[in-house]
Amino acid sequence: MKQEGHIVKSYDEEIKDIKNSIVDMGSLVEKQLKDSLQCLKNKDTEFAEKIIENDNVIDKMYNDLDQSLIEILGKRQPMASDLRTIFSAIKINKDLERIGDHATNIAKRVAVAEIVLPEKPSRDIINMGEKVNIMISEVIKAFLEFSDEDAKKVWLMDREIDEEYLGILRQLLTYMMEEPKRITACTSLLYMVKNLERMGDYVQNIAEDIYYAVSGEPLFDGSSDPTWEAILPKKK
Amino acid sequence: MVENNNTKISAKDVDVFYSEKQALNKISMDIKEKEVTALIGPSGCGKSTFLRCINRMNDLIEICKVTGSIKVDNEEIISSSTDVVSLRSKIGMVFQKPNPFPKSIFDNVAYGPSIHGLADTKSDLENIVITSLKKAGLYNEVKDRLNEPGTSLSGGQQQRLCIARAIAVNPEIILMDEPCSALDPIATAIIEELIDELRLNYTIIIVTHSMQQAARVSQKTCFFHLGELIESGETNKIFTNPDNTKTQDYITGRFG
Repeated sequence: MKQEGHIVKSYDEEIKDIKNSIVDMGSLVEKQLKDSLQCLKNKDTEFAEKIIENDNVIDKMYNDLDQSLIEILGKRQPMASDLRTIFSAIKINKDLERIGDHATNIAKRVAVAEIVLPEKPSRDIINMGEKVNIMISEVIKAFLEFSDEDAKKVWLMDREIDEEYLGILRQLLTYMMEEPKRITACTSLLYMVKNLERMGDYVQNIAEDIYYAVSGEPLFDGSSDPTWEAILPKKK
Repeated sequence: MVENNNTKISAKDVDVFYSEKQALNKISMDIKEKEVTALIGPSGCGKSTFLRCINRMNDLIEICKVTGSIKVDNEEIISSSTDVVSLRSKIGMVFQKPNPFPKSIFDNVAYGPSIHGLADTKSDLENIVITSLKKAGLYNEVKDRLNEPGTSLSGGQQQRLCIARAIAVNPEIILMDEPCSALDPIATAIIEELIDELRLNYTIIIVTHSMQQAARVSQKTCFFHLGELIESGETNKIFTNPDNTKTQDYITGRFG
């Protein structure tokens, strides 16, 4: 629903600033994951340190946005679509910050890995990470466009992430069983793949928040399992 | 909360004209008993006009013509045969500006029950006054000065005195026309708390300009615009996810 501006123009500005900050926050987190994957690819421990340092920038941005959000709640007492937008922004901000933490964790694993990480699963993890990064980028786009349909599409993308997660998990278990010497290295990768899987879940949360902000309805009402079939677009 | 389904007031196709100018256009709504219904909308939208239809206050305006049907407890009240005095004893009203009579605190509350013959003895009357002041949450503040003029009280206390006066005649419905707009936030909070308590025994209809107040005190909200009822429904729904774009624009501060 395209809307006229508020009578109080500074209120429009504040909401615009908040939306921009969410987009900036999204870009930072996306970059953090991209760097972490790069770092894993090159086993670059020096770069890893920089990435870990960079998490502070995300945390700072999270706090600043959180402050703006509580101020707008107190000052404007938003209603209806404004209320839903602010309420969702509060949750999205928190989930993005957490995605940033998970991205940083990958770099942390690289930083402490003194052992050689097995090639094949590392490569698969990087591929999976790139997919997660597309999800992040798409969910931010859905927020920018304020589109419930796009948000739903992003939500669906997590299915693939979960499948890859299980695939890599099985692969790592096989590696460990075949050669117990690899257990330490594989455990590091296990943590990384779990980090990525969690990030996908957080993106799903964000997609649900966008869906609610736009439509006023929850993406799932809890009456059925959010299965693939249940959320496919209805056939016309 | 237990839902009740008893309709207390039922309006159908209510039109109101001030001379040639139409102030309300085909208003239909049901108001449930023992609930708070908030009427919201920009100035001149007709919300106060509608409120004043319910106790026939518009009769006092010569150029005002009301048509359609309003039933209170299933009895038509927009009719020349309606007993307006008995109707009004059933419906109390509280206005924007507290308007105590130029009488003592006691007499302000005693006046209604006296003229309606609700008390046989002096002690009956005293009981009614004290109970009403207690229900209005004012008794403890005024019990030692019941003979002082009502106008000596603070604005918030005066408004509660008016509420006590309204409930003294044992009404079933209380109409409130912006009861807090002349009050500070503390006095407002006290009235809102009072509305919460009164709701257990009375059907309350409140006109308010404060969206937050409507959200806080009411269970149902009706949005009026240019003499029409645009949207009505559960308050929680209207303030988080209204169906109508006009409602949305008004409550988010986009026009008004």
